[in-house]
Amino acid sequence: MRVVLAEDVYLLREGLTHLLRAHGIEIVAAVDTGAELLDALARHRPDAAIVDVRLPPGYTDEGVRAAIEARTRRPGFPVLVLSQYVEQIYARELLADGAGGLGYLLKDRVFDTSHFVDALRRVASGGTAMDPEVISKLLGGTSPLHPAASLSPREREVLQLMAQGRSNAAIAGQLYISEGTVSKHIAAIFAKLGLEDSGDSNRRVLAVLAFLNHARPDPAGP
Amino acid sequence: MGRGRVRRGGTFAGYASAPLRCLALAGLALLGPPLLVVTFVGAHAGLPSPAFFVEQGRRLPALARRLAARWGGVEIAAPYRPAPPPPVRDADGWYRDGDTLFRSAFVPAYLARLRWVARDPATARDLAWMALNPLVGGVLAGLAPALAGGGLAALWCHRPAGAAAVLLGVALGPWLLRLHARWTRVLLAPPPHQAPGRVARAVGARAAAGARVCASVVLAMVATVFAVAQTVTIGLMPVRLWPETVLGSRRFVSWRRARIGEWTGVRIAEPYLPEPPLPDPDPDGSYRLGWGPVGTVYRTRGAAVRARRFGWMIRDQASWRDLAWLFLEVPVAAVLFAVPAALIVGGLGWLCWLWVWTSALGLLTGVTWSPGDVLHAAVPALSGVPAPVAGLAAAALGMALAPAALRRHALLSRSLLGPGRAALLASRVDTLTSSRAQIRDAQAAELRRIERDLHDGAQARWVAVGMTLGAAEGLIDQDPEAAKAMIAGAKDMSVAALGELRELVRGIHPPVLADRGLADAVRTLAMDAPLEAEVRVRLPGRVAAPIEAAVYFAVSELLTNAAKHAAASRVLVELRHADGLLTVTVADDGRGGAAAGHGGGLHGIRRRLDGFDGVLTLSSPPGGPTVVTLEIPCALSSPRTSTSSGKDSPTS
Repeated sequence: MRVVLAEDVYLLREGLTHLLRAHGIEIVAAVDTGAELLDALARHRPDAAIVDVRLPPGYTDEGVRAAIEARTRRPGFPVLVLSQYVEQIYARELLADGAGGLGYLLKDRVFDTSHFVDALRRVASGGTAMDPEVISKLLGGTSPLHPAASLSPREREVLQLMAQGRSNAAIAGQLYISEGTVSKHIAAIFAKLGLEDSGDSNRRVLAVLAFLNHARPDPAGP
Repeated sequence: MGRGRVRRGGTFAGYASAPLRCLALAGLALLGPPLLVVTFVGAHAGLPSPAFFVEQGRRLPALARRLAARWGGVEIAAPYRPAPPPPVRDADGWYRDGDTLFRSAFVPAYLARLRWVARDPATARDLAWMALNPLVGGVLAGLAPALAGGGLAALWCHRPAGAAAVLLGVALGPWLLRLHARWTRVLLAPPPHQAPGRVARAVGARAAAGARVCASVVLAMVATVFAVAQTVTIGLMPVRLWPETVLGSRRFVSWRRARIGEWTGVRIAEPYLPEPPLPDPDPDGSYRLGWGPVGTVYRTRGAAVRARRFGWMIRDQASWRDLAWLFLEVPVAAVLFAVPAALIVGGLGWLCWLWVWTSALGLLTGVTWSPGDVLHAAVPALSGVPAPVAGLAAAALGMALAPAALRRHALLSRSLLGPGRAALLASRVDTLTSSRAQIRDAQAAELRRIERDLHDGAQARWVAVGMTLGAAEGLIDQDPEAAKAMIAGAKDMSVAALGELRELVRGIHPPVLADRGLADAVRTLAMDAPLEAEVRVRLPGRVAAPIEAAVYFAVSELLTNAAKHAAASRVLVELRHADGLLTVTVADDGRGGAAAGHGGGLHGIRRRLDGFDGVLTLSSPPGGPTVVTLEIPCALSSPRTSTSSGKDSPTS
């Protein structure tokens, strides 16, 4: 797999490069601004990009804007966004195009190498990798009137893991329950939220995220 | 006794007695004005007690109420507030009245009864009734005996007309009694609870303005007394007596400022400089005070206090502006108030009231002089107009002129009584000093919190990470498995430390605020809040970073309050900027009853806003809704052409 990396902090850039090389992922370019990222994407046509939210020169949200721009140029282009903190507003903007191949993770998740590489591979293959904190914010910001408020604690746990992009088997393993029970919980979640379960795990995750995303005021405005 | 018969109105006795009763009521009406004068003068003389005169004066209205019930069939409840209880002695033997302590119960009881009668609106209505009753009730009641009596007298010369008049007087008697009783109810019954109509309000406002114009004339004379007193004392005993006189004048002038504000809506701020503190005494107990190039040493504290006070007042421009105002009151009143006051006093007092008296006197003595004659002689054009009509018209004209005269006087007064530049600067310095102290305290507290959080949180965790890694390094050859477990533990600890740092950073300056500005940061808050939150923003630019942060934390606090304390399910956050003012409104549908008590979240927001001259206003009636408005004067920088999202659409 060929990846472009946009990260301005030298130590992290080098660390990520070594880590990914060790897992057989090729870093075709490591850049440190949003503009260079777009150039590198056009030149190298990689399979995915890993992007830090804060990049020079403004150190604000250049990474998010570059990621959205890249996905406008190449719809569905897999991008994994990394950040020191997660904000709902960025998650919503990234998810707004409704396409897969998107990840939004805290930088801390890099510590857990195998999970991190899994998430990258999942994103590169059109899946999703949302940070647990993003999901809990999306769920926590719902009012008592919201359909999500009627979910049981266990269903919330399943929803959390599902929205992170985990497979049924992974969820079952994590929660020490059988895959059948997981399916039952997922069916109950979809019933409560009033969504159709397509059975395909990728589209399923997108449906849930889109639901959480659009059931509340649109951050970007009209 | 006669009430039932009068109600039925058909019996012979009812008709026969009605003109006599009317006559009695007319006589009673004539008692009103002298009693008004006695009450007024007695109450202002103060002895034995103002309340004594007012209470005695209530006997006449009480009799009128009884008669209205007995003869007119109209029951009227007494409108007075209950008398105050006698003062209670505190455990330490003092009687307390406000912040003053008394050894005996006499003065507090006196003051309590004075407040009781003075603050009872029924007192004013009683007095108004005494003044007006001869003109309305007296005329109404006088009609029946006048017709009956006049008719009897006319029987000698013109039989049919006389008989008709007698019959009419007798026939109208019971009806006039009832009408009189209803008139009595107008002023002597407890005031109705519904708001007065537009016309009634306009008439009431002009009548009040008329009374205030008359009062202003008297107060102008009082002002002259103060002005003269100041002039005399500054000539005779400048240091000892003049400051005392100025303090007295200031109390009077402050009271006038308050009245002017109450009467006309022209608010005049207090202009006086704050009294400077006395310097520390020298070791020998003397005080040194400087007066520009020279100074004086004062041997006693009392002398130093007096001198300091004298210097304070004589250097305060407001003292001299007050004095000028006190001197100018009479000339200004002569120009502005003479005409309306003369119209009102002359019209009501002379042409109406005196006319009633001279007319009644003329009936008894045969003297036919009346104030109307003077009017008709002076203004021949009015010869056909009866004196009371002209009087009421004059009074109405005077009252119509009154509000404008009061307003002009208020504006003139403000130019002299309002704060001058020096006082405005002094009060501004006071405000800035206190808000700067608050900011300094808040900053220090914030730094302490950050230091504590770092020390107890991330710092401690990194120490643990280092120690664990050190132990793992030592173990790695002997027991690789144990070392691996330790490294894993160190990794978890570093994750936890990162989480804590993240929270800390969020509390110092939220990253999204730095990245996206106030509008998006508030939207993020709304998204994170467990409520239906709608955000409307009209900010064509960005405000200064410190204000953005203050507003962000304020909105965060308000949203937390709405969700937690008000149990609200919906909330609307509005941000807009217009005319140099950033206005933030947070309105929820919760249970209300919020208070900006000391130490509470709202108090904290208020303190934070102080530093930006910002204002927090709270409206939170029990039962809701709660609306909190923040207003901060500030400019917008780097205006963008697009206004970011007028209104977000809520969907669920």
